[in-house]
Amino acid sequence: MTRGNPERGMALVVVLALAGLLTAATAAVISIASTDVRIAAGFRWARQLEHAAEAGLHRALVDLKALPEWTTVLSGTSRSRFVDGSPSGVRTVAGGAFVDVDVEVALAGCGRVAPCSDADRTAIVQARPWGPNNPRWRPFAYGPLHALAGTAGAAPVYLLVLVGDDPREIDGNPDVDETPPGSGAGIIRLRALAFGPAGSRRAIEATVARVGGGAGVRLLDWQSGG
Amino acid sequence: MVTDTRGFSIVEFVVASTLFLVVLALGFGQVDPTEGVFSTQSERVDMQQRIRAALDALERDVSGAGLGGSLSTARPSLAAWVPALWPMRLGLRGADPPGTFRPEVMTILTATPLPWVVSTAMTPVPAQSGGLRVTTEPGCPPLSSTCGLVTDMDLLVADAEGGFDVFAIVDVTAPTLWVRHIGPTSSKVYPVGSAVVPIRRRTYAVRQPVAGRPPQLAKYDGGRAPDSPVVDHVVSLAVDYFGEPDPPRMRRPLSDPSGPWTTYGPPPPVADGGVMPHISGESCLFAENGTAIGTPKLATLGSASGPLIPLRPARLTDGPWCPDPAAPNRYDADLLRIRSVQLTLRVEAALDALRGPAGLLFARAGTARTADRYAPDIELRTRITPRNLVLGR
Repeated sequence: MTRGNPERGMALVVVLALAGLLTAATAAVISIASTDVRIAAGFRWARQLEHAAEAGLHRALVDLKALPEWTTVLSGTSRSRFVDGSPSGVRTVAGGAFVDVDVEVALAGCGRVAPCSDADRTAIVQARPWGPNNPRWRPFAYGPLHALAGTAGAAPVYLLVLVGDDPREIDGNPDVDETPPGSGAGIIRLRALAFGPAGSRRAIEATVARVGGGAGVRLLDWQSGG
Repeated sequence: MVTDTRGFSIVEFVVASTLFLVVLALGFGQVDPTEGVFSTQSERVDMQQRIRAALDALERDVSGAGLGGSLSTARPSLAAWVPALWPMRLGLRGADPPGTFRPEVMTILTATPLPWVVSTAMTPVPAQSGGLRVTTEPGCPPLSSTCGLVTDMDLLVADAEGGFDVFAIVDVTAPTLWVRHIGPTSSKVYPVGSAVVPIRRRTYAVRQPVAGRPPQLAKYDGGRAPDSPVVDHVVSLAVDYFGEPDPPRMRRPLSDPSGPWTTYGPPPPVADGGVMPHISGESCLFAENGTAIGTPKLATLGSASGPLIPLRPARLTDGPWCPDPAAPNRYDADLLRIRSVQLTLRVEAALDALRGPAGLLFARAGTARTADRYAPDIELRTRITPRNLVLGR
């Protein structure tokens, strides 16, 4: 048996030291880059969801324009043609996220996840100070974005558009649209929500008025709800 | 079996050590530029995040410009009465004089969204500090005699002809709101029925660096509070304005109760104070011509259905002035044309060591002397069209 040359280990030490340095630098760069990629993705999703919510809002406007009056919309008996089933229950967003339509309706109506009682809905709170005239939100249009866009390649987004009576009506009945010449006749509120992966969501609210004797609809205001 | 119990000779040790150091030096020689790249790249990532945060803040506020303020479908929004985007600073601290155009400054005017709504003045409102009472309009909280208005809110009181003043609520003794007038006091008195709109003003500008503080994008809310920083190391903001090529025109005579009476902007008063409401009077936007439909005063800059056009500083500072040329808070009527803005933001590296000499790549000089240590400024340009400014387009 021959004992090895004691100098032969030096190359290994040098190589390991250099490899260690390079690995640490690479890992740090990858970590920073991947964090930025995640932040950029969140930013991009926020933009996409806002545009998707706006698309849902405009889809709802098309169907609202076609209806002769809006009391049936407020009472929940008329809905958009853009629906994917009954106006309640849980929907799955691609990527494993869920949208519970009933929870979203309750959150809009009384600010909690459980179904709203009449007392909850008519309670006077800062966000809903109109008491009996507080809007009773109902699903009007809902479904996956790809069904709206007509392409399977659309982003994995679920859309939900709620309608509610204009709170400036003082008739005490949010299920009925005021009749002319009431100041709130032909005016309703829309809340369009878009849901994306990992719990991401965006909302837009708008006030819509029927104009030209019902010949058209017009947005009176538009607000990004975050 | 052969055993060798001798150690290294001094010559072997020196040669081996030298070789080792040479190899190590070569290795570090390769790694050193990598370290420079690592520093600049991580800084550039940080710069990207800063410019994203700055843009996000600006976009959120600009996109809400002109929101709300609806009294009825005849007077559909705040943006129909007063400009929503201003190329100047408004408020209590350091307000610019009327007619100022500063491309690096933008003020955004927005009505406070629901549940706050527009109410109207129950008594005449002089443009000075004092008491103010409002009527309870539909949409006001039913149990509030002040329409839900509370201390520290800002109010815009506007007449039907484009005049407005801003007040801050300093106390509430229901049903009276005690307000402080913001801006130059005048003899103006707003009549009963003038709109009272809870509003939010926000001015964005870049603060130049001073000792211990880098250049910043800062915002100001129009009150006594000082500017607050939004994002550090923003070296410049430039705002370009785009607007309607067609001037405000009357859609229908003032005698038609349905409104809105104009394509945009406040309608003129009736010609003789109300006796003949079918004749349009003179205003900053319309000239009297003896008919029901007043003549536009602003220039036609293109086709009504054509694209938005750039509004140069001269266009936004040469009048005509609303509500009138003598008003201390007058504004150029062309501000009512604005529909869209282009924002150009520039951020710099936070570390002096990653900025080179001032010039094309760097707005502010740093101490870097070699290109591998440069993290050049990042500039981003984006166009935002607030939805509430184009609802009727």
